[in-house]
Amino acid sequence: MINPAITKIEYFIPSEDFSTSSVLSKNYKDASTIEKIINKTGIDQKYKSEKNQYASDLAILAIKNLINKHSFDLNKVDFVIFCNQTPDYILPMSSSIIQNTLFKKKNDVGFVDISLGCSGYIYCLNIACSLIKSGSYKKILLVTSDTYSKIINEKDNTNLAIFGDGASVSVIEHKDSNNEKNIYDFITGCDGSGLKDLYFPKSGLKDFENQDVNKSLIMNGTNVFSFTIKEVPNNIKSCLIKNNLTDSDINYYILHQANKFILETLRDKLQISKEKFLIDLRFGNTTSSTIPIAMYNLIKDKKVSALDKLLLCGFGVGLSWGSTIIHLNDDLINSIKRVN
Amino acid sequence: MPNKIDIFIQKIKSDLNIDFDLKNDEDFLKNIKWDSLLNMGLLAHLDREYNLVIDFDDLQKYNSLIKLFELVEEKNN
Repeated sequence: MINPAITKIEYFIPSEDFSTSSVLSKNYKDASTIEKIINKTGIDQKYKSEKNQYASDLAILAIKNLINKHSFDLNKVDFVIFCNQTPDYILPMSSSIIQNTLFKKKNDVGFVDISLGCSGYIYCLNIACSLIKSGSYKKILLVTSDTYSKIINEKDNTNLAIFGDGASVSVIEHKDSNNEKNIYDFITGCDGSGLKDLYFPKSGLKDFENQDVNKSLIMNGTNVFSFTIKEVPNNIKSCLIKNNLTDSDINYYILHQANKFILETLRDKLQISKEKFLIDLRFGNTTSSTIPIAMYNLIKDKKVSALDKLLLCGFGVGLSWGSTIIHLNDDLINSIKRVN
Repeated sequence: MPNKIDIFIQKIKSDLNIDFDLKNDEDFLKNIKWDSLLNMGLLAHLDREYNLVIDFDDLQKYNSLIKLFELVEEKNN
């Protein structure tokens, strides 16, 4: 039986300071207000890409980390999924830039862009697992990358306080295991009625003729929060039920790292213990990269075993959401422990 | 002795750390000290204390502490 697993993770964070304290100091004279915001969101340190550095560049640097730190052989890869919402171009797909930079001598690899944000890792993991299970592909790179710093208005204190840039890459492949499943069933959903609660107006062809240069991300934080506390707990409960598991089977919960306030509200609502519920906002909200980055740092920082089960849940733009449960495995644990 | 509405409002103010002047019938969305973090805090409070999930449209409609009290009362009856 083909049993897909995540066997490696790497990530890349750019180096230019985009900390909440520094960006908000341009808009607030009162330091105590900034401190209050940081306390609530749990986000200060975060970074942005350089002026001429885009999502594909961050993605390529994450893949180069995978190659260099783990002696990873790109020649074994036969499919690449690139999840991003801040593409270099509307067309072509940004993954063709990855192909042209890293896979020049190998053109029998499939490349596809998936336009999703904070739920993107779960959706793309679902797609990657299905492709592996189909037998058509053996080794898939799941790449996430976004540069929201480029689309946030300099006066938009809410978004400035949350988002940071970053990229990740995960290797998905079959892995023999004592576990019946390395990755359990997924449960995903979408509610397009909230599409304008988190969107980038005039970024596509709609309103193309009326485009002006002043474009920026818009988020109705209140509605996104309302959606989150309504949908996410149900999604997580449904995921446990679908996989015939309960809270006691789960060692760690890794939800999309939106901000501390949302995460603590969800943790309290779901009555999950603090020890099992990860909050890792060391690079801010890097959209689709928060889950793989948090997973990497969990393995790096804590004593974990291949028996551990992680419940992963993404939610956000669309509005969309998705959950799954994964077993950790020795390949993934050892590869991260070895380089840290 | 505080009545039901006083207890309701005091609970919100204490939970959300509202340390500025906010009248019970005032449109809090128009108060200069009210921000999006307080919106989220208020939603979390209503969900946790009264099992009531509302969105931004509702907040615009029930935009004072008194109106929110009436909404909660209506839901409970």
